Amino acid sequence: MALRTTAVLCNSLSKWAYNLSGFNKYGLHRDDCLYENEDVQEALRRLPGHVVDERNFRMIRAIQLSLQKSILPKEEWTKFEEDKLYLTPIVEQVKKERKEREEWEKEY
Amino acid sequence: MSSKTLATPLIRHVTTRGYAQAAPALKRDARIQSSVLPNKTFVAALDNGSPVARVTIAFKAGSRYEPQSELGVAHLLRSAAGLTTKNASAFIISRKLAQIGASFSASGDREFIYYTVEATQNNLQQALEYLNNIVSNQEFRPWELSDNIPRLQYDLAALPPQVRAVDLLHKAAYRRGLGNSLFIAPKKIGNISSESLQHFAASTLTPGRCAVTIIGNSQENATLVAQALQLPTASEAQSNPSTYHGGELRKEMGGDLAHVALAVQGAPAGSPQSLALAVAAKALGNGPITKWGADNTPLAKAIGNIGPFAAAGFNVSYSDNGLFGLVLSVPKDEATTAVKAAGKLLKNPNLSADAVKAGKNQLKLQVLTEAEEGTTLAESIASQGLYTGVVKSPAEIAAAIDQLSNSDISQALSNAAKNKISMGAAGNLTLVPYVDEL
Repeated sequence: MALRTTAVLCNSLSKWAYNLSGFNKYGLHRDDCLYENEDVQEALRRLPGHVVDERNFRMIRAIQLSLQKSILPKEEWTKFEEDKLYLTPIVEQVKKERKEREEWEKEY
Repeated sequence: MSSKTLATPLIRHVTTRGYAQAAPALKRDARIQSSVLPNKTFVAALDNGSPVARVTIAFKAGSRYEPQSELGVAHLLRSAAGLTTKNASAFIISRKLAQIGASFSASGDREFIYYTVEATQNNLQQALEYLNNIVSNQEFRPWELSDNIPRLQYDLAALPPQVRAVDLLHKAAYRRGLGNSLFIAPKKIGNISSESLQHFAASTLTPGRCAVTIIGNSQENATLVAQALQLPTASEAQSNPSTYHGGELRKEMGGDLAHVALAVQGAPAGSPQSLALAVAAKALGNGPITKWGADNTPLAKAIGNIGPFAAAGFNVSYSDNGLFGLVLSVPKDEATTAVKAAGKLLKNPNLSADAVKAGKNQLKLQVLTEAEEGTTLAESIASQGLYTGVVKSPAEIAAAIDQLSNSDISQALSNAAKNKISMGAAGNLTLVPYVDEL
């Protein structure tokens, strides 16, 4: 019981933080806000084409909204439940591969 | 200073003695051992005491098993060898193999794909571990496949026109199955998805279609390799028996030469006729024996004195069919006479006893020489195992060649010559006759 309340609390806390962060009002997803370093660029290369297209659309829309100093109507905001991490797992994989390469080069 | 001069010869002496002791005594009766495991994997080993061990894992996954909608997937499969699998990344595979000095290759023909690794005996265990990682649980990540596209393009760009002619010959002769090209069509590059490759691999790289051979190590080791493989046991690819249709395909490529492959139906692998036809192909001729020498083979005599040209007999045997014929490269202006003369010889092959005898000796030399090279031997044993389930040593094959009588050979030849001629041609085809004009 206690465990369940903690989980619920945790969930609602992260939801509150998510809504406070504001990027969802522009229709962005969490992974759209990643800083594009080399790992992320490599991960983007590995994504299927249509996922990248959707990401680019969301970003251009966000830039447009930001220029116009406006936000999306509330029903179009990204919901916490709908925000899937489409890029992070791939970035983790890329990082792992880079670490493996660096470890090898340290040893030999 | 004086101590140094004393030390050097001493060390040298010791090391040479050490090597002499380490060299294993050559076994006079090295025999090929073979068996079939409970999961139907064929396992063979030849412990010849070689300091280098060669291990081949072969599968029935050649181009004949390609579905008609995904032609070229077998080429993709062999070019994808060494990419990241579930167990190891492409980076680690290549670095670790390089670290132990092992050499890995993947090659394929119409029937099989061969994954071969060569390593010195003391590094064999590590090399086997990585061979296992390469072969089992292949993942074919889409981005790695698209990074691999230049390799496919290079493969195609580097194809000699003679190979194209023989490839077209197969397509003309068998249409589907064995007629599938060994190489991916340029338009298909990048269009075969990771999923279809995955499906092809899952249905062909199965234990029941696998053979493991080791040259230079024990049968137990080969069994261990076969058992360590993690292969899917799902549905298997169906292969339809390839029937010989006969026909002609031409590819106009320009240039100064015409490359023509002519053939009739041969015999399946393992049959006595296929050996007889292999002798006949050698007897037809293989170009001059000495460099820049005169070409005195029956084939060259039939074509006559038309200036420089190259002509060789060829014979290929597959599990249920075969081709017997010749390959010809001639200057474009002489193509009509040369191809007509070669076609006439193929329709009515008359080989003298001397030519047959020379053919036998040349074939024996070829079989025995190829057996000296461990990788070739490992792959040929694997293919024999997958074709017939029985392995003949090179010496046994040489003995079988000796036992062929002239009548066996002429019988096989006249049987083959009854079939329709097929033709594949590439290069400058301006003056190359069509197959019905032969």
